[in-house]
Amino acid sequence: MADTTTTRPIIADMPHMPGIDEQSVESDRVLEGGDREMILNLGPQHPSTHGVLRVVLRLDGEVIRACDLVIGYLHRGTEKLGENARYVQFTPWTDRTDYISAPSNNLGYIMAVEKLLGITDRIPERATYFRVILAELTRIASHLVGIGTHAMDIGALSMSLFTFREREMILDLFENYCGARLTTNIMEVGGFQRPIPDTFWEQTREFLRVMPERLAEYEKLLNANPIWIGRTKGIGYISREDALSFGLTGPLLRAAGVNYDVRKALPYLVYDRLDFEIPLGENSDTYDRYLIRMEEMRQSLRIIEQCMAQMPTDGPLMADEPKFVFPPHDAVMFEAEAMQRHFKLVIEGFSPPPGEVYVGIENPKGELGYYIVSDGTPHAYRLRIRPPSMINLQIVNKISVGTMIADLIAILGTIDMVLGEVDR
Amino acid sequence: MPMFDEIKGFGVTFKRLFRKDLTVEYPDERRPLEERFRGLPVLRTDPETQEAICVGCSMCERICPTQCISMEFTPANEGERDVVIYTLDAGRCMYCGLCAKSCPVDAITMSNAFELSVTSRDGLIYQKSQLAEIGATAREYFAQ
Ligand code: SF4
Ligand code: SF4
Repeated sequence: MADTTTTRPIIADMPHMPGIDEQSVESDRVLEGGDREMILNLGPQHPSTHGVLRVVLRLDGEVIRACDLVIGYLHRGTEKLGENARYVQFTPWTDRTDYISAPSNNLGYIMAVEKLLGITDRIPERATYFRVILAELTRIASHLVGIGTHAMDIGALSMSLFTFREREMILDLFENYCGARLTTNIMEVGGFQRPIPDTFWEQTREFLRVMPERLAEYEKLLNANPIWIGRTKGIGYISREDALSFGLTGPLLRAAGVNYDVRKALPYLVYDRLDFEIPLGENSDTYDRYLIRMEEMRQSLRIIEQCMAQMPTDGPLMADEPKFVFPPHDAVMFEAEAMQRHFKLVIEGFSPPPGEVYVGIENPKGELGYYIVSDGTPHAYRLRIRPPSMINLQIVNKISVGTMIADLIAILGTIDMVLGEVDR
Repeated sequence: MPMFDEIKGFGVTFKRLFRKDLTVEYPDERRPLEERFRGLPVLRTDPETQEAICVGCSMCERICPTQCISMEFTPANEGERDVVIYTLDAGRCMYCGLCAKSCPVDAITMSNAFELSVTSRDGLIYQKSQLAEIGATAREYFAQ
């Protein structure tokens, strides 16, 4: 057995490096000298697993020889619910997949439904800009939670207190517009029905003013902190090939040097009119991914600023598509035609033409996809969610073998998964 | 210089010591709710008669994604109907606001009630009178 106490072992140094079958956690092998490898369950109720993820580890001392992820503790059958609910009714369920970034999930689903209906081009410009603003605020909120909890897990407790302070400002913004903080149900087919209050813009400006200063504060706390560097630099290396073959997206893929961001590669909404950069990593380790998330937050601030400048100050927020969108609320009370339309939309919903669509958007965690098959009824025939966290999580088996058990905590943190989305 | 870098981090936390507290001592002190806050869905009442203004069209019942609203009614005069039973199972409700959005007469709305913990599950089932009681002071959902 290699001496694992003096230097941090890396995969290539391992004697009898586990092959494919030996990677299974079931094979409990006897080591030289008669010691047995140990099976350890991390989770499902462990704070560092960010939810209910169970990780079964086969350990040789402190070194991980095999790692198995057990998921599904939070399974609620969201996709099936989507096939049994009318299109309008399903939006609140999408909040509950990636509950850290609910507006982004709403957006993905709503865009898929709009594409199915063929009204993507009919969404008013003002609503489109507002969607981008909400999506970018979500990205910042999600990265703040990601970095905060990640740092907390590996020892920097104060970091989470700092990041949650700023996240609170974003949640206040969501509460200001839609009334809910976490499970927002903020987007609607066709745009937005309720006007944007002036206080929303005031609060957003205030947020844009304080946030750069706060980001600098985080960097002071972490960037040069020797403990943070020791725990993250060189840990959880993902090669470019692995990143591509595992289908990783989001900061994990970009840290490996692959320039793929759905906002740039397949621009949706108004991203092609905005000026922002996609940060790329060089070392593809945990520290790089942290830097990328920090830079993405800066870029998101830039995007929000540009959107606020470019967004038309008045104009409709809702598409003029009587067949698919709810009529204005006042009209329902006083106009017979609007009332009938309203009743029909509530009772029957709308029936998109038969067909299938896929819409992918850049969620804070990667490419979030919604695939809907319609058979011409008010319910989806099949609804499939491509959850970025679940696909990103699959790399953990590979990159954690040969590292210390404490590094697994750093790796799980850097994946930044949300179990609600993994298990759906 | 590792020593200096560590101190830099401490500097940030040390500065924080002298600023105003951000946390709120919750039960004694509450943060203000936003105007559009979505709490328990309740039934608004007519200020004169103190009766719920719900006309029994059952739109809210039909749009609710979790089927937490159930109602029974009897026909009344001139094609109207009287809602005799209107229950809301707050244990299932996900505060999505779709019921308030679908109500054509603004009878159901999202209130500011959010402290809903009870000691038995039965306490989560709200009857019409209870909903109307909370709803007497609630604002219209589309008020703004
Ligand atoms: S808020 Fe949503 S879940 Fe609750 S009663 Fe209304 S429609 Fe149903
Ligand atoms: S939608 Fe409004 S009026 Fe109709 S049953 Fe529900 S609360 Fe009553």
